[in-house]
Amino acid sequence: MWCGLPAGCVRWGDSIYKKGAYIKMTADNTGGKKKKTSKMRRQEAVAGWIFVLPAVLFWLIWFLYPALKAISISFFQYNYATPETNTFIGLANYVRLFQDPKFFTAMGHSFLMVAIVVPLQTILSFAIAVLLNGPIRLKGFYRSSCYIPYVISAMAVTIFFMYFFVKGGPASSFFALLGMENVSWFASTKYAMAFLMIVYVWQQVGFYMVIFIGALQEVPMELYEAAKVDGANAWQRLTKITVPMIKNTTYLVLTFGMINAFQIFDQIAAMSKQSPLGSPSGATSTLVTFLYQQSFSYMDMGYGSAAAVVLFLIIFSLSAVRETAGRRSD
Amino acid sequence: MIKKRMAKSLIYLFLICLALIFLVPVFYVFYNSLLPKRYIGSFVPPSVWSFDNYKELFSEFPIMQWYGNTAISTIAVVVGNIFFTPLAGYALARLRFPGRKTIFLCLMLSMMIPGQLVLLPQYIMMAKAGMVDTLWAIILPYLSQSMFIFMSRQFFYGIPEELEEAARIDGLGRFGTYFRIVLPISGVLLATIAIFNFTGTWNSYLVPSTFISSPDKYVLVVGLQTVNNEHFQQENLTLAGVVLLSFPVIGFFMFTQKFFVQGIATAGLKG
Repeated sequence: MWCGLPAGCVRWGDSIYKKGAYIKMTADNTGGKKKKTSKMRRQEAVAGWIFVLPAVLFWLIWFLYPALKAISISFFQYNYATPETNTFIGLANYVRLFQDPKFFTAMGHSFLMVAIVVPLQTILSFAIAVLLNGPIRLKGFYRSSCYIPYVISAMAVTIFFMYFFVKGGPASSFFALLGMENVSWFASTKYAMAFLMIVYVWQQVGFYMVIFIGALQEVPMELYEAAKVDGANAWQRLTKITVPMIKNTTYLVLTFGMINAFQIFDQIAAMSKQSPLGSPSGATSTLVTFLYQQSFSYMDMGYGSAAAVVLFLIIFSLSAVRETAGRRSD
Repeated sequence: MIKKRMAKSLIYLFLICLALIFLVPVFYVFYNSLLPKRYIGSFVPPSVWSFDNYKELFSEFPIMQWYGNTAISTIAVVVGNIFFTPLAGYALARLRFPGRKTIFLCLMLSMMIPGQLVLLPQYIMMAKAGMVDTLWAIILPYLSQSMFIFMSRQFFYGIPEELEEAARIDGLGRFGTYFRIVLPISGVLLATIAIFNFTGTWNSYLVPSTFISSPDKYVLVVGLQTVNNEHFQQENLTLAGVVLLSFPVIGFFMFTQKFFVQGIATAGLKG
């Protein structure tokens, strides 16, 4: 959430790993490396540890410890400001979660968000990338205009979209022509989710487009030439060559997209202004706003942490499912 | 032939619409930030344009202070990541040492853990250390991010090893090899880390809004939310705030954009 890039995924790692191993192997063969002595090996190990030490320390202190702490907090009635009242309550927080209708509403919104936004942004960014990878003039201009929204903060983007979708604003008036109500979308329980999705996709498409362009440039031109000679038309070349060749990138975009869409927060904070997160009246509450409110507004930190653990388990298992599904189709 | 030309014009038409969809809002924001409230949304001659909205914002809010806080925290985080993460990534890609596989596995796993899970314990740790409501809280935990260690590792896997071997034969140690031979040819990697990390940190809202509570320590994003909350009805002011927050990142992007696609391709983001 802080580094600007989505969290990663396993597939991405191991495909490169194989590629790296391949390069390493050829380097070994041509280099004719001498056998390493045990002294050299020890020196290498010492150097290796010195190199990773700062990163490992940061990770232990600011990641592993807090992650374990969060899991342990989720088994407590917990408020850090009043440590004397903290009591171990086992799975009670989790039981309570699964009896809380607000939690299910939030979870429903999160899944809805992912189910609509992820396919939409993947298809759009793929289509744009394919067009921009062709013989087009002013490629750089189009590419940059698609990417610019991604470098602007989500907070800023949401704020100015609110002016477009305010009652009587340019966008809401336009959609009124198409038969929708002319209301402030972000303040309407009926349209708030749609507003959130529009803002989100508008901003994210450029990023995934760049990833797709990177992949398209790696597809060997000869394949297309050969297919052309064999009489394949543009559509066939797209579906029979491009799509299978960049399959791994598509998996990556889907996984990233999913992880990110689950964690949407800034846009909702901007829409809610001073009202409680998830406004109007919970119409845009998600797992993240739910857990944030529990932990930081109601100071019910054990309960909030339990929701955070559930979010982690959902993301983790969906990534794992995606991973095995991807493997099987290989 | 005619069919082909038709297809071509359709593609351009689509692309132009696309560029308009992405650019018009950006220009709309900038244009309206120059107008007095009563002219918002209408076309008026340049004689009416002014920077009055900006002046008002600067006089009402500690904008310079917010700029300073944002710049300090962003630069500190970017410098940290540029220094620490390629170092670790290099070791994971090139050096053999016990625990390497475990570290890598932990790295992969931690990238799947949502940041919101660790936010609360981090807050408690910060509170105990007396660092809540200081810039330390939004700098310290983010100086070495797993994502960039991973990107670095992929990058170093992809470059040939001969150069380093030659340097080692010439008697350069591991550190000398890394700092004098490897880093100088890793410009694309460093630029990619800098770009992602800069925009991500500059724009981040969740973390600073959680850790920082006094207005003089706000970063710009949190400040903008304050402006929006107080002045949503005066969109000329809020839009000026949007411009103030966004133009440094857009400028940075313009300046470094030639690295983007190249960087993403080299850093192994292509799957």
